[in-house]
Amino acid sequence: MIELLICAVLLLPLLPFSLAVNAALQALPNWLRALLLIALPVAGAVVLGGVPVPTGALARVIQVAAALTALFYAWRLLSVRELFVWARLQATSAWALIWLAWLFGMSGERLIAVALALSLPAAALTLLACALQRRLGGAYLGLRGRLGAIYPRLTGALVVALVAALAAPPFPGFFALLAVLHQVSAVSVFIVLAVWILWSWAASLLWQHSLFGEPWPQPVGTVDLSTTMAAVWVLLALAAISLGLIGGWVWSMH
Amino acid sequence: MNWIDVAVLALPALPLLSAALIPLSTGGHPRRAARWSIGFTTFTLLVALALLVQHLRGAQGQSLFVGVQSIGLLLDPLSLAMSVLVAGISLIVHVYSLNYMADEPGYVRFFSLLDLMTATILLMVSAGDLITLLVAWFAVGQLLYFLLGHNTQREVTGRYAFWTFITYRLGDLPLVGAALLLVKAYGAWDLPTLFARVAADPHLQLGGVAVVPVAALLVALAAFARSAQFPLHIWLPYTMDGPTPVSALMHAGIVNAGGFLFNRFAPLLIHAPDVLHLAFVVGLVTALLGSALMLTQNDIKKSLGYSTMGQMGFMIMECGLGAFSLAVYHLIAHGLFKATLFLGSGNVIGDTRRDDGVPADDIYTFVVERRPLRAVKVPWLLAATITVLVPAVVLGLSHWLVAADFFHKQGAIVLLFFGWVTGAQVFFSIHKLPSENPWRSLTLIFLSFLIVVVGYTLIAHAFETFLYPDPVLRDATYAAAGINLLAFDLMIIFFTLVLVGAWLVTFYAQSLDLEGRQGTLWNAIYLNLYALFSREFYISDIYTQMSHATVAASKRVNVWLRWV
Repeated sequence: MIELLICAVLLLPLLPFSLAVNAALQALPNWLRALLLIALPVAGAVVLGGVPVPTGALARVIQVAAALTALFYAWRLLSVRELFVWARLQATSAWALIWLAWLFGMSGERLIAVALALSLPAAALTLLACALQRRLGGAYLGLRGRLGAIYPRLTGALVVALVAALAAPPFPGFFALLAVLHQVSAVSVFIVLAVWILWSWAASLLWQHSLFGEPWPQPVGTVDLSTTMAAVWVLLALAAISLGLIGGWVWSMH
Repeated sequence: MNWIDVAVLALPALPLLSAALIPLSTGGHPRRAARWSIGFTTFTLLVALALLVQHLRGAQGQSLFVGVQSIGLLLDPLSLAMSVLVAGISLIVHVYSLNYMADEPGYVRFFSLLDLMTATILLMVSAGDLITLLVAWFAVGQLLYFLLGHNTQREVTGRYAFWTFITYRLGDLPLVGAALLLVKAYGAWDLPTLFARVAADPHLQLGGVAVVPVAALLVALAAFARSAQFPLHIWLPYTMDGPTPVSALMHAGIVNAGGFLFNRFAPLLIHAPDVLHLAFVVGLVTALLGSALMLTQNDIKKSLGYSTMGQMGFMIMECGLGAFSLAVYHLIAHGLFKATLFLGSGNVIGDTRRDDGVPADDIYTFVVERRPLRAVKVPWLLAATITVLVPAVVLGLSHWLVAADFFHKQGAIVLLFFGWVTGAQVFFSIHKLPSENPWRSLTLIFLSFLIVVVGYTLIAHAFETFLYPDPVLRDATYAAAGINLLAFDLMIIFFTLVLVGAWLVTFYAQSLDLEGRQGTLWNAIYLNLYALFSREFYISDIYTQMSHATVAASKRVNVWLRWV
């Protein structure tokens, strides 16, 4: 059991291991990082599903570590303007919630679905950050504002991905957070709600910069996302919404 | 599935379809997109009206749940009234925007978002289960941000849209808490089953905590944030940078959602009298502060915003008194007149530049031109008798005629009291104005007052019967809001003294020399109070400082941890 728990801590990193995992992720190529942002939580949820839920002191330690990690990374998001960093920290905050759900009895496919729903937006944001980097030479939105006029499709995709990342309805993250909230204890409910408001605050500050910030005077490239690529993003968002709605309804019916 | 089921589902589906279709199918022809959008909204309004007519012709009080298992939409008098209001105001806003937004960038996007907002509000008012209600409740705040921030050229637009978004999100979370608590305790997501179980066992406890009062408190908190109650009101007066049609929609249809939420959860709130008392206090404070701030602002748009805040305070106060249906009546009336004000504001400004439009009558001559008249006064004793008795008799008789048991409800007495205060103030103001023919003025005011009060009483009573056909629930809402008789009597006496004192101070303000002489302590207090009101109690400054400190601390930690 301990070996599996250690393995889970590496896959769904909690404080202080999350610092090392984040440093490692930052060093990886972007495409691999996007892939890992999905693979790590799914693998972690699978591993956790196979571990019996501990009781007593160990459970309390995990609960405190998970709550601290989720809150700490959500709070740190408030000052992040670089999209790659934002996606990574948001994912780390979300992964801690998977631990909380597991501690209060969620397991199996439901835990994997929650892990996926909470991690997919971060992976999508990493890919969109690559697109921004190619066009602007970087993904630091604190210096690159009012992108909507230059890249309407890319900005649209970015804002939709951020809306999904803050777990707004009808994206799957919303139903995943409802499922987590339904599962956990009263004290943990307050933690999850606090994390939720911090995500909302951080995401809105970020798109605030991209929509209303200082205009970027010299874009490196002037080409917006192609219509085909924009259509792919729209289809992905629609698929996520459909799956989220179906999953949410099915969950509430049972 | 009969046509009514289809129509219920079509209500949110039609504008949703429009939102999805118009950006795809009208490429290069923005005006065509707008016309399609108006067509869809007109059809939505017709569907809502057809459902209302069908309901009025059919068995009263029957509610219909359309959905799969515990997920679906609810057709009841409340959802019908709100759907007709929302679809109607949305149609007016759509038609107005056709030309108003014609030169703005993102014309098609604006109409698409407007359709999406209409669909979401319709989904919210007809939600038959907690999941659908939460989805719609959250989405309204989200969409409002993008509608308010339509013009991305102005940074300030984005800032105030953000204030709205974050306040709404703060208010969304208590509703999540209430939903989860109710589902855990009563095991039902759909509202009809949930309310039936609450009625069967309103004193249920979960882990030693009484479920209904806590859930009711959380619902009330969500309503307070949505309806700009003090101290969560700051976003409202600052959101005037959004497009005028959005301001109209927001002030007429979105900010009223708190009153809707109180009515939707009425079967829960009647078991939580303390929450109703809290709502009364919060509503009263908001109404007073909103009205006071409206009077002290020198920016007319902010003044309008604070006027809405005051109205929302009254609406929540009505809920706190148990007059739930009156709150819906209020929100409909306020929605219509505020939408008219916003949409007509451009024309008014344009017309006023050419002609101020003020008729040169006695009042104008005296107040504006300050030319003395050959004033004739009614004897003061007779005037005082008219001021005190006439509104009381008119209000009392009209309410007694429509419902003789009206006076047994404390909430109704308080509302009558406010009506009497307003009426007395009108008569007193007329008496104070110099006139060459005071009896003519008094007669005209009396007739106007009579028409307004009788019309209002009849409509409000009919509306209450329509919204709450069950007399038991109707009485239960007033009973739940009731307080100890002695406390009630003391409260009425206290308010009477405060109001009479306020009248006297107002009407004798000049002779009382309220400002005091410069350098005196009283003058310092007066100036500080004035600064406090004109700076809106520094609430926005406090919030801004707190948020800046939080973000700055986060930045310091991130730099120290090298962003990993």
